[in-house]
Amino acid sequence: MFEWLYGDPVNGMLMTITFFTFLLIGRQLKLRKIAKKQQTDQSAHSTKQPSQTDQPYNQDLDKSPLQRLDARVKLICAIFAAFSVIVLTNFEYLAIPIVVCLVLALLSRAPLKGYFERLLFAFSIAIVVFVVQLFSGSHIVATVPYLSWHIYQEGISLGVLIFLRVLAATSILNLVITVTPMETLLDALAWFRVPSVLLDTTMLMWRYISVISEEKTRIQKAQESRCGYTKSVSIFRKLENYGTVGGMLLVKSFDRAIKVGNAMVSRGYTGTSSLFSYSTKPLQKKDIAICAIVIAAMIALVLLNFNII
Amino acid sequence: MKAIETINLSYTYPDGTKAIENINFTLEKGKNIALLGPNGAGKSTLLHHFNGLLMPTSGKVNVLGKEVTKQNLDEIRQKVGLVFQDPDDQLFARTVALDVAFGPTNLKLSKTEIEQRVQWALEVTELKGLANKSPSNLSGGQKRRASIAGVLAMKPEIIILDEPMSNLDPKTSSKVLKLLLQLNKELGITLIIATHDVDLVPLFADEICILNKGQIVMQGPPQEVFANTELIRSVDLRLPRIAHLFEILSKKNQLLMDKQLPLTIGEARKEILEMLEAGNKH
Amino acid sequence: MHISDGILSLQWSIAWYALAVIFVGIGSWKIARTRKENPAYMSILALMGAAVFVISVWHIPVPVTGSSSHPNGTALSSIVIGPLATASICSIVLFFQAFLGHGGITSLGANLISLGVVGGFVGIGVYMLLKKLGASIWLAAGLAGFIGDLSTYATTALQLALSLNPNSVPQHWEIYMLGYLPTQIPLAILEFAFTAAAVQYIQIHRPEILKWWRGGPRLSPMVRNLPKAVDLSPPTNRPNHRRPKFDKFTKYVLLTMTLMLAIMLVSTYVGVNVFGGKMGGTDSAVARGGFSYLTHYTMFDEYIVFSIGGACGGLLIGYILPSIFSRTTRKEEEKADV
Repeated sequence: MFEWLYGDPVNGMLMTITFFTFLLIGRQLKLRKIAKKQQTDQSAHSTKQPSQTDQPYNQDLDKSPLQRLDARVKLICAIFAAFSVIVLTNFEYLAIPIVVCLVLALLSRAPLKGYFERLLFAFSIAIVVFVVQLFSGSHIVATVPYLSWHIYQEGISLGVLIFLRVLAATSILNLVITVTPMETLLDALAWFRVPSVLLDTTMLMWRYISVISEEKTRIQKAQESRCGYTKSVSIFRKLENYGTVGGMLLVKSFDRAIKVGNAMVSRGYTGTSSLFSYSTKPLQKKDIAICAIVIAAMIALVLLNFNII
Repeated sequence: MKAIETINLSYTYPDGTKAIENINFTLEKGKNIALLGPNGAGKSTLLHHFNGLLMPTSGKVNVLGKEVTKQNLDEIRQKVGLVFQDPDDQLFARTVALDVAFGPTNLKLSKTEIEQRVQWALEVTELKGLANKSPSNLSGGQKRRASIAGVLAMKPEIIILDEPMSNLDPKTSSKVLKLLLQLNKELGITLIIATHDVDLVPLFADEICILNKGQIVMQGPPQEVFANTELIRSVDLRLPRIAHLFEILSKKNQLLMDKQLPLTIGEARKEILEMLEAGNKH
Repeated sequence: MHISDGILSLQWSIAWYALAVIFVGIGSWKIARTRKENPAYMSILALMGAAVFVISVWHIPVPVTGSSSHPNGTALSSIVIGPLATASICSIVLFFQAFLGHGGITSLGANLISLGVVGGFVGIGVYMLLKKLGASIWLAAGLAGFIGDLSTYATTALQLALSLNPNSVPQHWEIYMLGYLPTQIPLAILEFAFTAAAVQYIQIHRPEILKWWRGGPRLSPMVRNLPKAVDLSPPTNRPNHRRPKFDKFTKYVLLTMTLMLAIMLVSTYVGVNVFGGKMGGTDSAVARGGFSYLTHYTMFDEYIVFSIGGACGGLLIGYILPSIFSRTTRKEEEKADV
């Protein structure tokens, strides 16, 4: 009776099942989290800093050596390491960056909540890809009972490989993101000759994101006070309300943009030069040394992986 | 030489609405003028003509003897500084010091000159300790002073301020007012202040100009302007509270008969003491 | 949907980056050039970009599944700042989102192509096409968001298939798309509603925001177009002088028809190609029901019969409908009075 289920369709259906299951699980978790948050919200009522999540890095924690390391070095090491990790095929070698990054993150005294949240996001995607890969290949290793779906050995290896690669690459980049403040990163990018137009826009956006986010919170509260999101409101009406807030944000930002443009022009800005100044301190020997060590380590890992040394 | 002079200045929006019509506005150097008017009277539009943000549809604007044209905008913008109503619109740089340096940098000054000007501006506005803070972390009053510092660093001869005392608590408001008076009296900068706060106007203004529906309704010293009570009320403004009190006393209790209405607490106190003395004599 | 780090192979990661750099490069050059002619362009781009970013990290409840997620915002962004600027801004938005935990750095190039380039260009294309055909603003914007969203997911699925299963790309592309479909259709509906409501709001209150980027720097608002004083009169739809209007009922009918056609197409394709079903021949009901004499003539008879039947039924019901539903039209009139 189930002959028509064999073959490729199994992949798609499994992906669907896992997505739905995890969706429901995730939703339950989120609902519980919201319930808990409402309890704590009622006890501690603070209106300042509503955009806490938009500013992942606390600028006062400039203490540990990892954070004082030059941003350019961190950037180079991170990108080199991430790209090296992608080519590795040996599971043990892949585990090394994961563990090292975790240890360094724990030692760096930076807020770790973001680190694990990002890891979780990568984890959820990695799991799905893993399960999808299980069911393709040529050597049958196991069979799911009742449904006669085959699990292949190649599938398992490829699935695990990708899973570990995702974790390793994300750990590396998470580490660097957690220990580098935004401004130093932009300075480093300017040193790498990224066009100043792009960096100016980035800096301006960064400055005004918190302002616009606060406005959004205020408008939403106003709508909430008029029952814009209660249970009796249909989902489409709710979405319409959200969309209206979005439209209002865009209109307000546009008006503010004209005023900001006027203010810049009133102080003599002619659009020919860069808005912000980017400067980097000269590279120290210590920074160059660390960069060299990391690059050498990654090259060694890759060579070891392919049995060249 | 007049600081600002407009000759039959008119401006019409691209969609046809007339914003201001036939304005003949004059301002002497070193004076401190308050621009009053109801919402939508055209205050902002008029002010934006003084530093060349808007070009007149007809008429002329002369700033410090020179006509404002598209060619000399850089010069005009150095001489006339405009402080916007919402400091968040003006403070866009990473730190206060960098934002204050934005103006002088656009003037293409040398690095040492820029540094000097920034330090001086921060000192005058009492923001020295906050030089390396990000603008998003400042309080309302500090932001206001930072935006004034940013314009001050360009060493203008005229500064225009759009509602500088709005959204500030009373103490900060009086601090900003003191700063503005200092700029006017000690540094000789001509000030144009657009405001709604009728009670504060007599404290600082040498002259008042009232705008309504795009035209100048009255211009003159505060005593003269506020004596014209029906005109003031017909343009949706009001008298300062002290003056209103004495107006009621004059009309209903026959006190003060025909004398000028006191506009500030100091004047009122003098008046009351005089009346008490006169009463004691009877 | 963002791809996180580590999924794409080295070659593909670099390849997508190279493509992304081209688009961002062109975008930056254009921004630099426009900035010289109109210094305020920089602030408009940055602030609209910041607004789009705030929208794209905003938790909104998703229809059907009940969870919450973030709208993409690329179609909306395309409509208000243009597709090329959207591509450049998207690179910055993805950069910020990497800081917040969505997406990755090595996959930034790939994500930029699927979100900023494909999503942006498809979105604006659909919007302009529909407006030319005379659809109302909310429908055009909503479908722009919907189709833009779906095209983004299709591109992501393609990127995954190309990198993970290079030997069987077409099959795995379908599989990834099918697997994504259950979660992405509700998200696409979310995008539809959000984009439609937002653009409708902007059209009512400040329609010039939807048009300014098309006129080039000369028409870009600078100090000349100061915002007017607050207009407290109730918002009215500004009349579109050139285009015919579709009334509400027509819109709903067209929407339902398009959706049903789409579902039928998708399920047929699925049925034939994935489940190995068969197409063609007489509909078994027709044959068994005794109308087999119709099929004796040509093989097109089946289609003729069904078309005629549909036409008659539609005509009849369409004729009767307005009188049955006069109650609802009266209700709408009452609403309009209030």
